[in-house]
Amino acid sequence: MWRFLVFRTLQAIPVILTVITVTFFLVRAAPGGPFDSEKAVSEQVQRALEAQYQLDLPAYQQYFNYLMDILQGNLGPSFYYPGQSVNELIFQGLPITAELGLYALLIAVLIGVAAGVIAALKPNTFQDYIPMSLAMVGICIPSFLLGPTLVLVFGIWLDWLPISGWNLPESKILPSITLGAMYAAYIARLSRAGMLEVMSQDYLRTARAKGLPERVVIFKHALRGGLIPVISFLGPAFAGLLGGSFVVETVFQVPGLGRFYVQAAFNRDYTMILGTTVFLATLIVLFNLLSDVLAAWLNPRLRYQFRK
Amino acid sequence: MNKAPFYVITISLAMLLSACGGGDNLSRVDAGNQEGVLHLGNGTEPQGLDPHIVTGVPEHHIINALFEGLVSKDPNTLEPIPAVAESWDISADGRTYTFHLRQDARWSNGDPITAEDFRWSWQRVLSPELGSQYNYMLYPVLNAEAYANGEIDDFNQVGARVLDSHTFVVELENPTPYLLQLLDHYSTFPVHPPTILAHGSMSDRISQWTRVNNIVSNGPFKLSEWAINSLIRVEKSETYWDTAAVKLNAIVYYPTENTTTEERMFRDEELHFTNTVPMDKISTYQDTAPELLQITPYLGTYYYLINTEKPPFNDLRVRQALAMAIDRDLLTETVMRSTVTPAYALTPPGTLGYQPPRTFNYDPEMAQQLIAEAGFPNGEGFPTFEILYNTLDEHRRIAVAIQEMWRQNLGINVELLNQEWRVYLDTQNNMNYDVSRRGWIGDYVDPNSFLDMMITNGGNNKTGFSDARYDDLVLNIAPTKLYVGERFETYYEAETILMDDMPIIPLYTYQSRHFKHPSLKGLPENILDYYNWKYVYLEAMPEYDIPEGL
Repeated sequence: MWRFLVFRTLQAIPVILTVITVTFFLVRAAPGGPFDSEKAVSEQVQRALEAQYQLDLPAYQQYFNYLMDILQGNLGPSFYYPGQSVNELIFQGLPITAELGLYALLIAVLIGVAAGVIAALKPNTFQDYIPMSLAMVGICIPSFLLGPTLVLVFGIWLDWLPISGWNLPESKILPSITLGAMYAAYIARLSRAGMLEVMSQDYLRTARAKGLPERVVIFKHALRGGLIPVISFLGPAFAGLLGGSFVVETVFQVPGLGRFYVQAAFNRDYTMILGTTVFLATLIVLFNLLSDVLAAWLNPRLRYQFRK
Repeated sequence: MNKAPFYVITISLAMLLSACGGGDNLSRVDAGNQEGVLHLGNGTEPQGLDPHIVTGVPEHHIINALFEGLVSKDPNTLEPIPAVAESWDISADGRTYTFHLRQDARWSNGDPITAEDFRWSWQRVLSPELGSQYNYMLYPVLNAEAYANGEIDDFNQVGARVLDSHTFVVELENPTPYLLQLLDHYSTFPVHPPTILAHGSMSDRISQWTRVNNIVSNGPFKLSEWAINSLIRVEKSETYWDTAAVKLNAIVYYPTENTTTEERMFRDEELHFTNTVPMDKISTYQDTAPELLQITPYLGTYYYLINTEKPPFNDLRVRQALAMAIDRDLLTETVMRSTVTPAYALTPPGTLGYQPPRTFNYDPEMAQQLIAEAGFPNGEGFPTFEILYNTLDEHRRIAVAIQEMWRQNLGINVELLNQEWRVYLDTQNNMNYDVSRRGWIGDYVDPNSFLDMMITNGGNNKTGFSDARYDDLVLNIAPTKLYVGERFETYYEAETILMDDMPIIPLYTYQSRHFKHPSLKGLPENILDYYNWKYVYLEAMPEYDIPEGL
């Protein structure tokens, strides 16, 4: 197990280095610079701006400076928000996005697993069709449609919930549901498939044969195996939630990381684009690793492989 | 086993129950009316709050609450009114302004505001290392431009002098009748030198002096909370010289990037005033609740640039034909739903009394004749070209309409090309376009704010337009005219030259659009979309509800 962990961690280094390098040169290759505006500035001003952010240095030197900084955990100053560092901005947005992602994932798992299990118990009956069609709808409805619809119904017509912000506990409900819905749908389909596969296994027949009640068979024996695909999905899904909650954050005015990420690209905020990309890349690598470890813990066959 | 559905039901119920709490509370607007707190949709998160660095309108709205310059503006007439300077004298030749600062003007930490603070602040804006993108606002000041370009190093040669601690003398290159307008622009505002020096050097852009616990300001409000991408809150300042006149207790600015979300926030009474109105909501509000809409002409022009260096656009007749083949009345009535007025020149009409020339009309027959003379009868042989615009639905709709007008009236084929904002700026800067959408908002109410951009090789010209007489009129003749009438005649002549050469196709004069809650008062409409927060107040309207069905 330790060998596996060390190996996977070492593997991550070239991955992240590649991400840094490609992103570094790609953002600089994009047309338009961070200080372009509709009102042209004098050459002197343009030079001064570039000098303040070391853009006057040759590209390779900027690159090595950046690598040196990143080794010290410094992602540099934001080009767009003078006086704010990328580290600060990320750590301001991250807790909020993480909280949102956690609620969304929680909703997704609760609803998704329940729906998937119900469907798998009686495949190809209405008990299967109804939750699975709902799941299909859930996958297909984009959050920029679901979000405003929920706002209209619960925020404006029924006037139960606030429609923007992240400061009140009740203002967190609609964004979490909106973000969670799509993942709930995926999880429902994954857990249905996983359960169906497990239900036909010999060890379940054994469990039933020795007279265990159906409840124990499902919850103790089947779920554990049936949810493995869901678990491997959760790691990358959570990392994806951190970077991909942009639409939900915009619709609900949530001050999270996703909004910073997309705005940074539009603003050509070089350090911010790089910082968030590298940060998210690291998270994705980390969560993939975590979900692999979790899957191994749940699946004795995998555990055995690692031991060899 | 049938417990799974049970869990689903329990969870849903728990969610619904926790949801029901919000219903009976006061809306944010109603609560704000009671507490004197204005809730404002402000477009985007400000880049920062350093008056010498930022460039945008959202920043302007916040900085105007936090800082104050020598003069301010009357929100009704836009005439200059005393601010930090309680009075000023202008020399007979119009080249020297002597400002008398009020004795009771103080920084938020209690320090008096001195003439030295102004001189230091202006040195900061003009310092070449800071790279202030608005430093040209001070270029009318003697030697300011030379200092900003690094041609002179000695700031003593710049016409910003301290006579005594409360007398500030400004010497100008030329009499500049709109100088007082410029002195209400945030780039000319004072900053507190010790605060800036405590967090870096004079010309550091990367500084933390504007953070909540660091900032020292001099306006009617002071910064009390700054949560990035969430809100900025300013509260009434007790050290402000005219604090008795300030009516609001606080203003909360929200970064409302998504205009649809902003409209819903307004409808849910979370905002008193919005940054804008989504185009597709205008007619609904016009029919149901027109009193909530505030649509006002704005000091800006929407126009198309023509690349005059590229054939066939280097032929004047082609440019004229393109301009004459556009039915601006139809465009503004249908696409823009009558919220804007057609424009036939660069400067918006009525800019401080200035009326631009009208050198052409919608005339499809004349346009056909011109394009035939240029060698393309009925548009035959005219190369297909592109209209470039930055990605935005409004720009696309306008381009589609014009594409159709040119096809119908001239028989020429046009394609549309949209680019993301920075790519579009880059393409335009490199003159890599045929015809490109452009907008210009005046920095101050004077024709000069529009006309000086079209001088030969001007940074914002980007059409290849060059005319020696035009340059002379704008750069040398107009600035020496002491009387408004004579100046406007000069600008009129210059603008006639410009429109006769048609490097640009004016389309319409901008409008500012806002949703405004009826409880919000003291915010008169004006051409600059300018607000003097000091005079704004809220009237409690507990009975009022935004109409249903919007």
